[in-house]
Amino acid sequence: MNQTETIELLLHDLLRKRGKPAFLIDELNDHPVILQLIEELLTIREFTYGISNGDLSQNLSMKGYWAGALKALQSNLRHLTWQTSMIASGDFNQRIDFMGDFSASFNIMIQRLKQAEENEKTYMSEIKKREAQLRESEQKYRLIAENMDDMIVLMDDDRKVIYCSPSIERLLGYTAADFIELSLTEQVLPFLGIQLGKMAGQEGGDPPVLMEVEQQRKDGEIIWLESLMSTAKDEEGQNMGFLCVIRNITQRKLAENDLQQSYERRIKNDFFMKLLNGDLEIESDAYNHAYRLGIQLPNHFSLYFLSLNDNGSSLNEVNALEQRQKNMDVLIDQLTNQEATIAWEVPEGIGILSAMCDSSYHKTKEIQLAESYIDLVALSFPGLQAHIGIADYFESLTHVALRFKHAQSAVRIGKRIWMQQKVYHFDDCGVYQVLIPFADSDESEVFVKKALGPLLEYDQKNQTELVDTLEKILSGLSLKEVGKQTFFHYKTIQNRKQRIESILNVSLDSAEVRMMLGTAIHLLKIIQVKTDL
Amino acid sequence: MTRKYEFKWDILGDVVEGRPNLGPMVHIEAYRLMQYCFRDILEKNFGTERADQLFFESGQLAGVQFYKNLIKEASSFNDFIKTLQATLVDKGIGILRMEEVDLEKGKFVISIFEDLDCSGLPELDYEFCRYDEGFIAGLLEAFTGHRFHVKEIDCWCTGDRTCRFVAEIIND
Repeated sequence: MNQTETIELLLHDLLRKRGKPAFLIDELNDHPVILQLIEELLTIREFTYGISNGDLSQNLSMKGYWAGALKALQSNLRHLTWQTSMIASGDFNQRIDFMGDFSASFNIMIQRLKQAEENEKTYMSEIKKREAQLRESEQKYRLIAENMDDMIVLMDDDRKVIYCSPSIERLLGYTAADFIELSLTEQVLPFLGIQLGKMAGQEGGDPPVLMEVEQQRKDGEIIWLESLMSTAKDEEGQNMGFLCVIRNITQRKLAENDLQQSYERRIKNDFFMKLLNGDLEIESDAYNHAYRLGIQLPNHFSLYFLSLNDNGSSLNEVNALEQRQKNMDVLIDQLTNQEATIAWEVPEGIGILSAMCDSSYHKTKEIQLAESYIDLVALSFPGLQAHIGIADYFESLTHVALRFKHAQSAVRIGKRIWMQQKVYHFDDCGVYQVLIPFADSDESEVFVKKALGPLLEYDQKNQTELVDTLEKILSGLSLKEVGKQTFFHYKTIQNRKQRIESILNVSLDSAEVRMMLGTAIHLLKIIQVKTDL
Repeated sequence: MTRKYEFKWDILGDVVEGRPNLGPMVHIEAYRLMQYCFRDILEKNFGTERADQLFFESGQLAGVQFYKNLIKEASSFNDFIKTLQATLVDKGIGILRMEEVDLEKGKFVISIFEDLDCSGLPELDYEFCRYDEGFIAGLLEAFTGHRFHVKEIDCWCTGDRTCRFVAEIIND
């Protein structure tokens, strides 16, 4: 093989074959320049092979055009590697400008990566925002659910309780865990089963079902509950089960009850006012009217007027009036709750109608009953002074207005005449039964003034008691008996009689004068006489 | 020593006003003519080693001023490199490529393609870019606050297609 053929084969092997062509190198030992070239070619080949395997860490110490080009390629690839690491760390502003179409595609990829990351950031930001909103919303709902007095129960389609707000403890005394775990739905709140049944029976629209029930708390207290059950739906409108909001309406029920009782009292008052004012003249109409109003009006009854006076209150006027009205309402309810008794409010007191077993007249029983009313007032309202007047008896509604007036008159007379008593029967009022209607008129005062005026003035002026002496003389006692009662000598009484006759300018021996003066003295006891009249 | 020629950025002047027709650009030949003539005279007067040192120091001063007046402030190394790359291209100085970055060790391998000082020069047997070495050292010093040793390991003048520099922090 000549040298040319050797070099051709050498270059051929260097370019195409793996490894060092050692058999040829031995033949070139005498040509160190060619051997140096072979070494450099092998170095470039190894460097190129390394780059082809991704090894950019090699150092090529050779200089020259070929080596320079390879090092430029290495430099670009190293820079590309660095740029890629920068991109990987989030620097999407890196751009490649030295690798032709690859650069264009790579740069587009970076832009899309940037866009994707921005989209992801926006998406994540939105997710975080929604999560925060959700957390906030959940916190708010939880805060509301945990602090509200209403109880919330969520049941699934199988009617299993899946949530119960902690407010159940305040409302019913049970814990939410008890309620959920022990399946107390039907045991503790049986009405929920009824509501679920009603929900199932409804068609279209799933309108909520409202119930008001009395319920026993764990501690035994009975309370009123309002339960609103509706179908629970998710955001897409799909049924999730049943939602029930339960609240304590005991106070509202009590208020409603008070209102109802107040209404009934008002209706009853209006009826009796009409009855006592004579607006219901026909008896059958009155009975029918009472029946329509739910008032059981008996055929035989006793009639009372309970007069009530405050002992004085520390409350201001408005509060005192409110308190008085409350007391009055309570008292009327207490009286009405007694057997066969109807009570209603009248000016300055309470009217009471108590059924009698028959028409036979039992004054003693009436007085006993009246005393029991007085005791009831004393017991319930120690601050109230009570007096009661009992009307005379007439069958059914005959003269009912007059009877009630008599009951009122009995109180008026009794308070003046029998001050130690609290119960007064009209039948015991004697001549006052006749005098009392006249006592209400202005003439009564004129009459008393005319008959006794000078004597009243004399007593007032001279600190004497001639009017009392006159009453005793007119009572039918002899002058001696009057003297005994008053611990005065007979002559003194006689002198007083003469002085009375002189002052009044009358003779007490005249029956007519005696009647006139006796009437005036009786009237004086039940009316207020103004001394200047 | 009283200084007469201390460098200030202002001394670069207002080119827009001063060269309304010719503008800011100049032929590279003119730039290289001035630089190589300086180098020639410096070598003649102070010797090769001293001339190289003076060129390095000049480049270093230029690098610091370049950073202070054109890069101004960078929030991170990546930001610094990015701005530097763009500014070097904008000024027609060269295309900077980062080949290796080891921030922990403070070592960088940097390539400058189409370098203003040497690209296209005839092949010589030595690295030529002493001014570039100083320039890179000045830039890194201005950004990091640390001094750097920069050495050119490949150069157009030695037959390579790019100028490659190894920069290493000097631990004082």
